[in-house]
This record gives sequence, structure tokens and C-alpha cells, in this order.
Amino acid sequence: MWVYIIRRIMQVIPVLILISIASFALLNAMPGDPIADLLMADPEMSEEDVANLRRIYGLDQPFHTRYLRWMGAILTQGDLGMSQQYKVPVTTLIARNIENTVYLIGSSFILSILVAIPIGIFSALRQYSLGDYFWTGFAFFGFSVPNHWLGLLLLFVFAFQLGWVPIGGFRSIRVEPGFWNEFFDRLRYLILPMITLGISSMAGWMRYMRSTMLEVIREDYIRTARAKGVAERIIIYKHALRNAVLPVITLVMLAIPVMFGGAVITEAVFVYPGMGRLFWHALINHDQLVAMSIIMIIAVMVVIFNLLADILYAWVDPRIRYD
Amino acid sequence: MANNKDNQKQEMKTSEEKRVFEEGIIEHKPTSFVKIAINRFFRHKLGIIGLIVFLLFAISAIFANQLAPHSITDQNLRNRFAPPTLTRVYPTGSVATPDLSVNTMNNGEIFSRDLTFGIPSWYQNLEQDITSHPAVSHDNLYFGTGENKLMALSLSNGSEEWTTDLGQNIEMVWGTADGVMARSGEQFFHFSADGQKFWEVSIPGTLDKFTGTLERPLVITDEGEILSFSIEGEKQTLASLDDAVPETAHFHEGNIYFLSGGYVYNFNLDEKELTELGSINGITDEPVKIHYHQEYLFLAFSGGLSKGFDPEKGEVIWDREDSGQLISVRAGEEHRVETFWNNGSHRIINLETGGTTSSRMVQGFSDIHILGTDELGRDVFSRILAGGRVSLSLGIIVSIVCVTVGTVVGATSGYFGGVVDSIIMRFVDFLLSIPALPILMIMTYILGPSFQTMIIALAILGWMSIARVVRSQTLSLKEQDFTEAARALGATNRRIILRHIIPNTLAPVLVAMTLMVAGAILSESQLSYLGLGIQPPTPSWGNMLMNARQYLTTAPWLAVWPGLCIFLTLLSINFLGDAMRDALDPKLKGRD
Repeated sequence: MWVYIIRRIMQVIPVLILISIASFALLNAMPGDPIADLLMADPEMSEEDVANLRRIYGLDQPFHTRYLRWMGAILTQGDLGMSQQYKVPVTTLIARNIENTVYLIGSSFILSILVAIPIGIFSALRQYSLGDYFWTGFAFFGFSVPNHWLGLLLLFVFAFQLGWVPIGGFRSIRVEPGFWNEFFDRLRYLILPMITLGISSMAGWMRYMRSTMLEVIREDYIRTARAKGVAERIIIYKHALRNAVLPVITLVMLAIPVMFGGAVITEAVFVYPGMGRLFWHALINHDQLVAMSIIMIIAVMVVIFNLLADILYAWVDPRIRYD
Repeated sequence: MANNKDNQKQEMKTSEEKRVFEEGIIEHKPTSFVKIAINRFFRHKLGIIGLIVFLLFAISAIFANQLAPHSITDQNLRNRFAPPTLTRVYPTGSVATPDLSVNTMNNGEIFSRDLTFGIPSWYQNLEQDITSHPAVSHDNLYFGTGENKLMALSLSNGSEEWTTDLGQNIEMVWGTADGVMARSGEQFFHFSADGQKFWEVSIPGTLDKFTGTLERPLVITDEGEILSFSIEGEKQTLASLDDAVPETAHFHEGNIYFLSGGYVYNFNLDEKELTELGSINGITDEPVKIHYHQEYLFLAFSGGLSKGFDPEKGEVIWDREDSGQLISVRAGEEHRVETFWNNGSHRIINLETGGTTSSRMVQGFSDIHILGTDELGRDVFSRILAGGRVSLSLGIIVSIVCVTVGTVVGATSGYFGGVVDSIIMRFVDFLLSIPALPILMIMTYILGPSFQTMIIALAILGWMSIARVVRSQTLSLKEQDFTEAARALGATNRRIILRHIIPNTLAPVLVAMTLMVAGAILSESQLSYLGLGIQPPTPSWGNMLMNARQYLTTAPWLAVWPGLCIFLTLLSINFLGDAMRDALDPKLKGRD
């Protein structure tokens, strides 16, 4: 097991290096450069000044030297550079926003699982029942509804018309102290974005859980258990569910970084100050370092969650380790 | 129900076999497979509904120009007010009088619009850069140009009134009660309305934050000094704000309202008293504007966020977010302010609720406009038709490109195997697990957002899922007897791939292709919603939704129609794909 884990971690290192090179190349491919912006601010700069500035910024160096310098700053000091728009270090900016995104993705992830898994099991056990058809319909709705539109509709009904939840932001300005007060205050702001972000993964996982469960209850060992006279409840929850839920766990692990894509649009709709909205604004306002740093963080997250999913899978299914 | 279906299938199978047996014909396999697939498809009710709805959308997209009751191009030409975002041409500012609003562009173009009728008034192209925000006083429009000139145009027809060369770059211009005040670095100039220079003063020190007013020329320095000027140009220090240095300020009837370090302050000029009104919690964006109007404060931040603030209660009462960046604000009727944005939009915001009363142009349903009109008075129904054309054609083109590339790569990679195959598939697996939207946003940003670049970006990310499907099919097909037979007959690899492998992968590819149309339409609408896709004034369902966000309180139908179209298209394609999967892949039947 340990050998397998170490081998997988070793495989990750070249991938991370490739990611950083790709990110840096993309950053260089972006339109405009810092000098051009300075030139716009002061059009009377001489050729000599421009050349000097290029030297000071290190822009006259070849690609690999600049890459190594950039990477060195990240690795030794955790320095991702300065944001052009906000004039603060990128790390500070990310630190301010990351917490909100973690809450958003985390809560919508938990909501999706809590809804999808029980309903998937229910649909599989009562295949072709009225309830199954209802949830199949719901799954089609979840797959097809564009989440920015769903967000706008929810906002219109529950925030503007009924006034049950606030129309944007992430917490109230004045909250009575105490854990539960703060928790419910945050929840009021989170509930709509959480549903908007979670609906498509909810639909997907529901269908996936249903089909794995259907597959498992047709296996021979379930028939054997039935023949032995084991109670139906025990067959379902002890024999079938354990095996049916395993593939779902890996799927769900890999979905966490993918949810970030949905977070961009959800945060944009709900004016929720998180990483997704920061990324969007960085692109719109030509704040390229911020955008690129966020992309790199996502890519690294993808690699880490892939690794975790692999290790988890190897842990539950020993056959994997020997291939 | 399941048993019933199975019986039907059984019956059909036996009757088919009987017929083949009785007539003694052995049918050519592909035709019978196609027939069976079509039969099976038409038993899928939802699939038929999906097909019909999709065809309706496709037909209305093809005949969009004929069906549209109002011409899109005519309407856009009438509204040359919305310059494209993310380009090097941008407005340096907007000003407005009660019946006219003017946008000055950095390339020297000036658009003006009659606010009573919502139609363009005059247009002027100076063919030299405009460097400053424009200002208005005494029926004149003032601004600084790239040739260091202070220029005054007549507001009624846009003709030039007078020009003075100041010899240096003009950064700021304000209208005053006597004429116009201009700033260049540390120099401040004051001119009369007919171009006579009153005075010129130099104020040393960094002067990044200040405000000018119509009532009297007033400057706030970076150190928090409030300076005022006499008509002869003598400056006098009115007061000092000490530590609270304003990030943005507004002067209103003897009071200066300003934002500093996340707090809102009020400074009374007569009593020289500084009051902290309250905090604006949880905002990391840079303040852009503060405006006092009818007992409320309007606060705007970089990136399109704005807040309403009640100075009495000392708290934020609403927040909202719009696309673009605020350029200027002016008082409107009752509790409303009129705002002007760098993407050309003009919004009237209610300070009590934060809702938008769109300019007079948004209308509900009527005989002429069956789905109403949008914020620029354009017919929503015509725009939906045109937007559908953009979205559907983009989805179909992307899926065709992806299928071509994906099939070729998947088939060759799977057929030849080896190191190249495993490297390609590793790469594909990694890219498939990365969230697509941020990557698409980066790509359209680098390539410059347009219809063509969106096709490129979506195709770059889309071919991989097809390649994976084709590859897994190829792996099993190349081991089959008919491939062996073809090889034994001396067929080249090329021939085997083209004639034997690819045709056999068509069924799953067709399903994946259908679903890809849906994926591309969704991505298009999301990118356009974020302003990185189809650029206004070209309509697409995504950018129509983006505009509708601002009018959610007053004109919700603007958000309903385009979203409903995306939803119905995606739903019909998903039904269609599901039915096709069942029809084309007998192995999947019953597993569902």
C-alpha cells in the first residue's frame, strides 16, 4: 500500500512542474504587458526609459530564466506577485476570498450528497414507481437548467419578491455574537447559491447512485443472501449499499475541483465575494497575475484530488495496487 | 411496464426472424440495424418530444431574419451607445443634463443621446484622443484632448466653441458656477464659459484624491486638506481632515461625504465637524464614487459593485452588482440616481431599494413588441430569435469540429496504441478533470472574445471526450474477427481505420455529439453572461441574461425568456440524446 502511495506521489511531481510551465506560458500569452500599461499612463516615456524598465522588470531575459525566477519566488517566499488592479499581493487577495468559496463549495457538496444518495437508493429500489419517475424528471431538470438562469429566478422569487433571504453578499454587518447566530446568518446568505451550484451535481450523482445500486442488487451474492433468508433491510443496507456506494465516492471526490467552474458563475450571479468572482473580475479588469494564480491553484487542486481519489480507491479495492 | 416493453421487443425480434426465415433473404446488416434503431427511437415518447422541440428551435434559428418582426441591425444602429467591452476603445466618461447624455470615447468619438425620446442626438469624431472625463456647465461640454488642449463643444449640436492649448496633459475637468476648472499634474486652471482664463494655481504634493463641484471650485489633497479658491485664484485652506484621507468624496450643500478605510464620514464645512457615519463591511474592492442624494448615499466600487447607505442609521441598506465600471453619477427624480458605466449602459438606481428603474425604454408586452423591449428599447422577441441563431449554430459547429478531431485522434491513438497513446490519454484524462469554465474564460480572454474564438476555445476543450469514447471502442474493435479478416486480405492500416473501425464507432459518437451541442450552448451562455463570449450589440441568449440581471426587480421578463430558451433547448437535446442512446446501443437497454 505504502509503495503504491509513494509511487503515485512521485508521478504527481512532473505533472505539477508541467502545470507551472503551462501557467507561466499562458501568462506570457496574455494581451498587453506591464510596460504597455505604464506607457498608457505616461505616453511621453522615451525608448531608453522603456528599455530600462524592461530590464528592471526582467522582461529582457529569456523565457526559462524568467520562469525560474517566478517559480523561485513562489517556492521560497510564497510570492505570487502584486495585483495590478488592487495594488496588494495576490496571496493577500486570495486569502481574503478563499474562505467564502470553501464555504460555498463545501455546503453545496454536502447538500448534493445528502439529497442524491438517499434518493438514488430509493429510485433503484422502487424502479419504475411514481417516485422514480418524479426523480428522473428532476434529474433531467437538473442536467438541463442553466445555473445562472436558475440563480436569477431564485433571486427574483425568494430575495426580491418574498424577501426571505438577502439579495447578495456573504454575511450581515451586525450579528449577535455566538456560534449559532453566525451560522444561521451565513446560511441565509448561502442557501440560494448553494442550491444553484449543487443542482447539476445532485442530478448527476442521483442517477449514478441509482444505476450502481441497480447493478449491485442484481448480483449473485444478493440473490444468495435473499435465498439464505436474510432480512431485506439488512441486504440493502449491509450487503448492497456498501458496494454500490464505492464508485460514487471516487466520482464525488473528483467532482470537488470541477465544482469550482460552477462557483465562478454562481458567485457572479449572487454577488458573493469568493475566488470565482475574484477570478472573473481579474480577467475583466486585465489583472492577469491574479487570474493566472487562481488557475494554477485549481490545477494543483485537481491533481491533489485525483491523487486522493486514487489512494482512496486503492485502499478500498486492493486489486488496484498490483496493476 | 418493463415487462411489457420486453415482450414487445421479443415479439418484434421473433417476427423479424420469422420473416427473414420465410422469405429466405439474409438482409444486409447495417440497414436492419438502422431500421431497428429508428423503430426503437420512435417508441421513446420523450425522445420524440425532444426532437420536435429541437427542430422548432432549429427552424426558428434558420429563419430568424424572416421571422423577426424588427431588424436587429437597424435596432443596433439606432443604439450605437453600447461600445464593445474588453477592447482598446472605451468611454472616458459620460455626462448628462436633464434631456441629453453624452459619452466621450478615448479615440475621439463623441456620442450623444436625447433622453426624452431615447434616440441618438448628435455625433462628433474629433480624430484626436480624449484623455479626460468630460464635464458640463453653461450648455458647454468640456474635456481634455491628447494634444494637451482644453476643448469646449456646444451641447446642443456638438460644434466646437473654443479650444485652448495648455501645453500639458489634462487629467481632470470640472464644470463650475463660472465656467470650467482643469487640472494637469499640480497645476489648476480656471476658465470662463467663453474661454477667458481666470487664474492658474499650483498646488504641490500628491493630489490623487479630490473632487470638484458645480457650486464652488474645491479640492481635497492627499493629506486630507480641503482647499477652496477665490475668483482671483487665491487658495485658502478650509479645514483639515487629519487621518481620515478620503478615497472618494462628494460635496453636497456644505457637507463633504467621503469614504476612507472602509468607513463613511461626513464633514460639515460650516461647523468644521467630522462625523463617522458607519462602516461598509466585507468589501475588498476599491471605492470609485460616493454620491449623496435625498438623504441616502450611493457608494460604488471598482468591478461594478455598488451599495446604498443610510447616513441616519449608519448602515448599508442594499447592495447590487452590475457589469462594467461606474463612471459618473448624477441626481435623478425622487430617491433615484442616474448612473453611467464604462460599457455604455445608463441605469437609474433607486436609492431606497437598490432596484433599477430602467431608462424609459423598457416596456412590457404589447402588440408591437410581443415579448416587450429591453433597456435600449430593442424588441426582445427579435433578439431571442437572433440569439438562438448564434447559440445553435455555435453549438452545432463546435460539435462537428469536435467529432472530426476526436474521432481521428481517438481511432488512431487506440488503433496503434503504445507510448503516444498512453501519453495522449493521460493528457486527456487530466484536462477532462479540470473545470472547463475557467479555462474557457482564459482562452477567450487571450484570443479576444468573439464568435470564432469561442468555437476555437470550445473545440479545444471538447474533442477529448469524443476521443475517449472512440478510443475505447477502437480497442475492442481492433481485436474483432472482421478487422483480422481485413488485415489478412491485405488492407492498409488507413483503410482499416477509415472503413472498418470508424463506421462501427458511429453509434456512441452520435450520442456524444448530440450531448455536445447542449454542452456548447450552455458554455456559450455562461461565457456571454460573464462578458467573455458574444459581445454586445450582437445578441445571444447568454448576454441577454447578463443585461437582464440589472432589471430583475422592474422587468423580470427580460430574464425569463432567454433563460427559458436555453433551458428548453438543453432539455430537448438531453431527451433526444437519451432516446438515441437507448435506440443505438442495445446493450445499455434495461441497465439505464
